[in-house]
This record gives sequence, structure tokens and C-alpha cells, in this order.
Amino acid sequence: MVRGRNGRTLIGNHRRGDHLSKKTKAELEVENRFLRNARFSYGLTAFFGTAVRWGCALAIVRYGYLSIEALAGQQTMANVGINVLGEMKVNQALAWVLAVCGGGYGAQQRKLRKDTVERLSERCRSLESKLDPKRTSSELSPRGDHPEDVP
Amino acid sequence: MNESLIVASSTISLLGIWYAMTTLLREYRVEKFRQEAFALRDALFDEAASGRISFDHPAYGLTRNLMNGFIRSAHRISLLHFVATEVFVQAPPTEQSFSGRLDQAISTLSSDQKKLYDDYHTKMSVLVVKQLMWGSPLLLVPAAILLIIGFHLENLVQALKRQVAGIDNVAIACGEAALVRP
Repeated sequence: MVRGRNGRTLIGNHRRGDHLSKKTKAELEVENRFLRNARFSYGLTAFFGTAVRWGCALAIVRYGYLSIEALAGQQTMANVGINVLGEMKVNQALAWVLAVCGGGYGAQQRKLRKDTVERLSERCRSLESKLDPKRTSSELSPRGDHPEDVP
Repeated sequence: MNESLIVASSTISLLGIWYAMTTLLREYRVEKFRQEAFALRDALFDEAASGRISFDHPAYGLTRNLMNGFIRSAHRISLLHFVATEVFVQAPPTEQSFSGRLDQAISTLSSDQKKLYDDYHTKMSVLVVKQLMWGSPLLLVPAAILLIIGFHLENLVQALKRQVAGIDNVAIACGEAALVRP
């Protein structure tokens, strides 16, 4: 039995990075160049991703602002915006889409949390049972539910 | 209702939808990808714990580090990053690439064990391709059409294997970088 960092017991003789053999200088140079290029590629992606994301938000705010300004009689440039954003049906449709997005997000997050509880509780149960075969249970379902929880 | 109020309300709804699409959906997909990758890594651990493969074999370390690399860099997986990696990151020599190292490592194993490692690598690649599709509407639409006409995701991954190898190399570098960090 081998102990790893922090004194934790490791199964077999497995240690983190055991499979990494000593690398030559040439291999390390290739790896270094590769990592620098990968870093550059990520930096570029992050820059463009952020620009597109916040560009969209800026466009929405600016378009809304121009429409309200036009309604106040200061400009007539944003008639299209008024026609679209000022339409009651469009307004209601957008509100519905937003509500569905919010509800869907909540439901999916709940499902993900319960899936995670199910996966981890099963591992926990099987490992703890090996140390304590008389281990008692809360009798909740693997997903963390009780039959009486259902409204 | 006053027309100005309707415009303001529509603008706020649009901002809400923008936030849901660019932040909430993205965060959810990253969390889901990580949970699925954790489950896959746990399954690989169980295979080794049951004795079907060895914890000490280099192929186990490589596959686990690949998974760790993807788990760590899940927030970076996007079509844009995929394209940038293809364009700017020159693939390492075959013997230093993930696929080359894995091929070399599994050459000493039995055919069952080779298949097992190949299956786990394919499952990981399926997760990555799914993450790429969800992160980009440009990919989601053609992928959905392919899936509807009966093209399985595994086949899609097999077809894209050479392209996915570029991300594998970045992920394994990310996974192994943590091993040498003090």
C-alpha cells in the first residue's frame, strides 16, 4: 500500500503522474510551444466570445433606448424599433419566452442536482457499507426524495 | 399601456433572454458536462478497482488525465475555441500526441482491455462533441438534422475523430499540467 500526498492511502501502487516518463529537452520544448499556442488560442477565443456576448447586450440596450427616445419626439430614427418592441404581442411573446427560459433553467438545474445526488449517494453507500456493514439508512430514495415530499 | 413602457418592458425581457442564453444556459451546460465526465471517470475507476484494468498501467493514467483535463477546461469548450485550436495550435509529433501515446500504451494490453479504453475514449469524445453542439447554434442545427435522420452520435464522433484529437491534446496537456504543479 502506498501513501500519496496528504498521507492518503492509494490503491495498488498508483500515484498521480506515474505514467509520465522523464522527458528530453527537445520534447519539453515541443510541449512548451504547444502549451503557449494553446494558451494564445484560448485567449483569442475568450476575447472574441466576450466581445460578441457584450456586443449583443449593448445592441439591445441601445436599440431600446433609441426607441424610447424616438417616442419622446427627440428622434425619428428608431421607428422600426418602436414598431417591433412597442408591439403588445411582441412584448407578451418576449415575456413568455423569458418565463419559459427561467422555468426550464430551474427544472433542469433541479434534475442535474438530483442526478448528482443519485450518483454520489450510491457510491457513498457502497463504500461506507464496506467499512460498516451495519450502517443504517435515512430511507430516502437514491435521488434524495421521501414519498411524503410529493405535494 | 403607454408605448414607452411597452418598449422598456420588451427591452428588459430581451436582456433577460440574452442573460439566460449567454450565461445561465452556458453555466448549466458546463455543470452538466462536468457531472457526466465525473460519472465516466468514476466508472473507469470502478473498472480498475474490479481488476479488469490496472491502476498502474500508463493507459489508465493517460485516460484519467484526459478526463481531468476536460473536466478542468470544460468552460473553454466552444466552436470558436475548437476552430482556434485547429488554426493556431500545431499538433505535437505523433509520439507526443494523446492518440499516439495511448496507442503505444495499450499495445501491450489484451484485446478486451484495448476495447475498454477505446470505449471510454469514445464516450469522452461524445460528451465533448455534445458540449460543442450545445455551445454553438451553428453546430446544433446540422447536428440535430443528422441525429434526426438516424445518424448516431458515436458515428459522428468516429467521423470527427481526427478533428477531436486536437482538443484531446489540449485537454491532456491541461490534465498533466496539474501533476507537475508544486
